[in-house]
Amino acid sequence: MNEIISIKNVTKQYKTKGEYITAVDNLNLSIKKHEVFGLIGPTGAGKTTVIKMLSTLIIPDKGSITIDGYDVVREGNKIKRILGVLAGEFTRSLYWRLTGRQNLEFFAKLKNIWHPQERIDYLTELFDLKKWENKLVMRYSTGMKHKLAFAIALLNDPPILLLDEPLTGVDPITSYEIKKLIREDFREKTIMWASHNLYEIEEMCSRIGLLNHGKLVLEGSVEALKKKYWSYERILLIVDRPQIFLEIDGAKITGKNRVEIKTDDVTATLKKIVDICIQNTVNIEEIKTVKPTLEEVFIAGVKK
Amino acid sequence: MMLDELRKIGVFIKRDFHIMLTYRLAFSAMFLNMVFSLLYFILFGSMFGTRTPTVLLPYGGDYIYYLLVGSIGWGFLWTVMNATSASLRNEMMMGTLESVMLTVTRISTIVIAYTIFGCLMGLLTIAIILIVGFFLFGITIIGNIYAFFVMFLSTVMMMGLGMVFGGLTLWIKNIGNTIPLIQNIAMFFCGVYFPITILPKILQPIAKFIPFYYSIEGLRKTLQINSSLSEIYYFITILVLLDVLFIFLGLFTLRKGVVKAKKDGSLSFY
Ligand SMILES: Nc1ncnc2c1ncn2[C@@H]1O[C@H](COP(=O)(O)OP(=O)(O)O)[C@@H](O)[C@H]1O
Ligand SMILES: [Mg+2]
Repeated sequence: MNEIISIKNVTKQYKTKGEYITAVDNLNLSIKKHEVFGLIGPTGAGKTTVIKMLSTLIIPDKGSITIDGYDVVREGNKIKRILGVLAGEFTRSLYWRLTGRQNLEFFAKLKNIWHPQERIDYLTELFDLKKWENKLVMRYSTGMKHKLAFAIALLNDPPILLLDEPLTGVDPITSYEIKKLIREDFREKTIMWASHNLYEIEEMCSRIGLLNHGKLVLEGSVEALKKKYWSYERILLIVDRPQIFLEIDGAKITGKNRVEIKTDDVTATLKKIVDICIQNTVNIEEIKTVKPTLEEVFIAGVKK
Repeated sequence: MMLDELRKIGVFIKRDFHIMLTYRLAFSAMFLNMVFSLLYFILFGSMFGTRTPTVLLPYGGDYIYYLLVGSIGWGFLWTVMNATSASLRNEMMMGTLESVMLTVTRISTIVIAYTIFGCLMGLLTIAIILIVGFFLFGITIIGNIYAFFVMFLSTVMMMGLGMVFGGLTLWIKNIGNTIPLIQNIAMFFCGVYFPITILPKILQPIAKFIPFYYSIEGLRKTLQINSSLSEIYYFITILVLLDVLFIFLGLFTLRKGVVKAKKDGSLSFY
């Protein structure tokens, strides 16, 4: 239907010192127009390899990848025009001995934007780089380098963005600004967001795929995945006498004065807790229900 | 499309100038260094006094002149070659090659731009040597249209060779380290500091198989008043053939190198 990125049976192996490492293993994935897709997975799972294959920097061994109908291997130039890529090692993607503005002008022209001044003014304004645009990138902080790399990726106003660990190593203020930008101004763009930071993924992405050892082990909306993997919720209690709660099914002492109760019926369990409290006159310091987090889905998926 | 690629060459050269300007010290040191090399040649040459070694007779007899033409020509060839082949290596190392490859730019455009920049640097060097040589030491080298042709054809040949090494760098990361060795071995047979006629008879034919020999010897012939046109055309014809060969080889290796790097995922690895 409105599929814009299609990955079919893609495998990529690297050969190092005579040994083969399968970085991506028979991957099938489909990304829809205008969605923010989160690609998660532990370090070494193959996320960067997927992003690089989509950006035409790495050629897959097997399978096919199309973006907006174009084949990444044969029609790379058509794809590059509609793509904005933020590499994982963004600091290495810049010329440190050019100024910010010289970097922007250089890359704009390589992208066939021959009159980029207006666009560059807009981007330096957007990323708050105006004051620094004529200083060498050497002198920039990591946050500023990051914003510059982002600005370069946006020069051609691409409808598709591939972001590899876009917030890793980025200070909280820059990180906040970028998330805000994506949420508010990029609703029309299709975004693939690779990261192992589950908080940012949960915050930003509508759908996720979990990679482990190059295989897609889970895929779906965050809510659906949570429901699938955690039908129960947990109740956490901090009380002075935890042992008396052990009569409830699924209760476990998990620390000094701490009880955790797993349940699939929160209301009924809460009632039991209240009953016990009244009978025994216990002092409750804290009580809260804990909803499953993406982290738990992640761990379940990786251990599968 | 083609026009865009041509305009991009200008964009790359502008970038290189901007970068060069941030290396002011290294840059001035390089030129000062050249003036000193020049001084060495003058001193070497003056050891012979007014006596003319017989091996130099076919070249006019003046050793200082002989050394200067040889070293200017040789220096220019390898400036061009290094500029071309080191380009990909540096950009891979810095990590900027991937950023450039994310744009719609041909790899050959990137490399040709580097050659032209190297060529400009080489010409600047020659200009400085000639100016310093003239004002400080009273030496004049008068060029002509044939000398220009030989230099131009040699530039194209070195660009091709640079592409070969550039392509191989994507393959064998530190192939560039072998360049100084190749350069020194080749120098033996190219008549840079001494005519090949002083080599043992059995070694002399090797020169004919070394492409750079045709550049240096060709340059000398065009600068000599008594050379015949047929002699000059001989060198020019061979250089044209070498150009075709090296450009073809260069483009081929470069293309293969990029595909290989994209398969290995080594565009930004070093
Ligand atoms: N160029 C390469 N050469 C050899 N092995 C590589 C290369 N790039 C990645 N790998 C290996 O492939 C696997 C996947 O890496 P990567 O795609 O970077 O994963 P992630 O981004 O999820 O951390 C890892 O085991 C990594 O060591
Ligand atoms: Mg990665």
